Amino acid sequence: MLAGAQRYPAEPIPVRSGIGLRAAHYRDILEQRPAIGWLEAHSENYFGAGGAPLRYLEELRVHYPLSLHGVGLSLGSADELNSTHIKKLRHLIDLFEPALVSEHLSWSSIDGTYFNDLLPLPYTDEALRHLAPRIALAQDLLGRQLLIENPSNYLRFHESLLSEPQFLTELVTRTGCGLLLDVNNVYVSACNLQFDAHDYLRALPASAVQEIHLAGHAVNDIDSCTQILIDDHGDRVCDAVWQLFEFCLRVTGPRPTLIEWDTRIPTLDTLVGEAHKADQMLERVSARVA
Amino acid sequence: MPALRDLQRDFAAYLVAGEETPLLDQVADARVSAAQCLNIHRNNVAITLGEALAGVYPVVQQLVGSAFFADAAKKYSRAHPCRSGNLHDFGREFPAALAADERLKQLPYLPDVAALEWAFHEAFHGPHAPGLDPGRLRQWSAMQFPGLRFSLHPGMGLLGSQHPVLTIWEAHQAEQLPEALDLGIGAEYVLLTRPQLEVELHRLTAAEFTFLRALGNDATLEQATDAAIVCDDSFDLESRLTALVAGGVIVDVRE
Repeated sequence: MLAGAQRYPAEPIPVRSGIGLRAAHYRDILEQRPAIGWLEAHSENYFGAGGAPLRYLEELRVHYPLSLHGVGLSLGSADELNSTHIKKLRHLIDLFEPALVSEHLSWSSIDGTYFNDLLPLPYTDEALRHLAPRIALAQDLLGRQLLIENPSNYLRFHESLLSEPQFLTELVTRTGCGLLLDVNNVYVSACNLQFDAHDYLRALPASAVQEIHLAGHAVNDIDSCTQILIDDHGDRVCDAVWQLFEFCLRVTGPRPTLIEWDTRIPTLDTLVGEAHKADQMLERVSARVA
Repeated sequence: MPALRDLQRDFAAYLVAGEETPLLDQVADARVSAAQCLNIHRNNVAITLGEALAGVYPVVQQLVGSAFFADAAKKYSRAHPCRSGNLHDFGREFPAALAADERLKQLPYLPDVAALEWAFHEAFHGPHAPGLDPGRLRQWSAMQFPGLRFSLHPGMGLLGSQHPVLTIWEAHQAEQLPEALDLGIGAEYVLLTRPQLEVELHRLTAAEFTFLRALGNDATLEQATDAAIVCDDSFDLESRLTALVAGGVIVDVRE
C-alpha cells in the first residue's frame, strides 16, 4: 500500500490559507476538493503501521501541499531525545515529502513519562543551552529544518529572564530553525500574562516566520472578575485574533496561514469559510505590500 | 534556581498528584494564583488522556457510565503513565487494570470487552500485508501438507472469551442503547481483520479459534487441525483453510 518510491510534486506551501486535517473531513475533502492552499496533518496521527489514516493522507497528498505538525517530540524535555519518535517522524517525512515540518517550544515528557500537553519552559540561559543543541540534533536526524511554534502560556516562571520573543530569536540564530507563529497563542498568552501582543510580534525576527496559525480559544471564568483564555482549538477565530492577524501580516509580510480546529470539529464548509476569510486578509495585505 | 530537570520533575509530580510543590514558589502570579495556573495544565493533561482512552474504549465507557469511566481513566493514567509521544500507544493495559478493579466485579465480561476494543484499535492502525496467493498452496504435495506452517496477517487480532464479548460489542455500536442482552449464551471467539480500511469482526467457533491460534503459534497444519478436532470433531479443514486464504488472514506458507 505504501509505496516508498512515491514522489509528489515538490511545491512549497503557498502563501495562502490551509486547514488542519481531521479524520472527520477525509472523505469530504477528497470528494469536494475545496479551494484551499494546503493541508497540515498532526504527525503523530500517522505513526501507525497502516490503515485508513495513512491511506487517506496518501490520496490527499496528491492534491494538496502538506505540512507536518508534531505535538509529541518533547523538544524541551531534559530527557534524551526520543529516538523512536524521531525515527517514526523521519519515516513519515520520507513517505509524504511535506513542504514544512513543525514542533513546539515546550516539553511534554520527563523521565520517560508523557503528559501529551504542551508544557511551559523557563526562558533561561540553561534552557536555551539545552534546547538549541536538541533542535539542531533533531534537524540533523530528520534531515529537515524545523519550524518552532510559540505556545499558549498560562504561567510565567520567576526565573525566566528572557522574553519569549528573545528566546525564540536566540533559537533561530543558534540552530537555523524557522518559526511557526501562532497568533491565537500570542493573543491567549498576552491576555493571560498581561503583556502587549503587538510588542511581542514586533520583537520577533520576521524573516524567520514561515507559517502562521489561527485558531479559536475558550474563555474560562476563574471568578467574577478574572478570566483565563484556554487554547482549545474549538471555535471560530475571534475578532480580536483576526485584528491581531492583520497587524501581524503587516509586521511579517504575508505568510502561509493555517486554520486549526481540533475539538468540537465543524463541518468542512465552516472550516473552509474561515480559511477563505484568512485568504481575504492575506490578499489585502499582499496588495498593500505590492 | 532549580535545574531544568528538577523543575520538570516537580511539574510532573504536580500534574500527577496535585500536591504541594516547590514549583508554586517558582511560578509568577499574573492575575490568578500559581496553583490555578498549574491546574490549567493539570486539567489539560487529564482531559487529553481521558479522551484518548474514551476514544479507544467507547463500549467500556457506555457499560460503566461516563463518570465512572473518567475516574477509572484518571486512576489508570496514574498507575500506567503514558510512555510515548504518540497517544495511540496509550491504554494497552487498561483491560488488565479493569480486571483488577474490585468495584467492577459485578461486570466480569468488562475486561474482555476492553480487550476486544484494544484489538480493534490495533487492527485499525495495523500494517497492511497482501494475502497468500492461493496458487502457492498447489506447490505442495499431499504428503507435504500436514507439515506446512503458515504466517498469519501481522495486523489481525484474535480473541477468545468466556463471555459473549462480540454480542455485547455489537449491541453497543448503535446510537440507541440495546435491549437487555442474554449473557448466558456463553463463550465467544473473535477474529479481527482489516481487508481495506474498515476493521471487520468475525465470530469464530471454538474449533476455528483453536485452529487459528495454533497456526499463529507456529504449529504445523496437522498439529493445528488435531487441536481443532479436539474441540469439535466435525471441524472441516479444507473449507476453513480456503476461507482463511480468501479472507487474507494467511499471508505466507512454508515447510
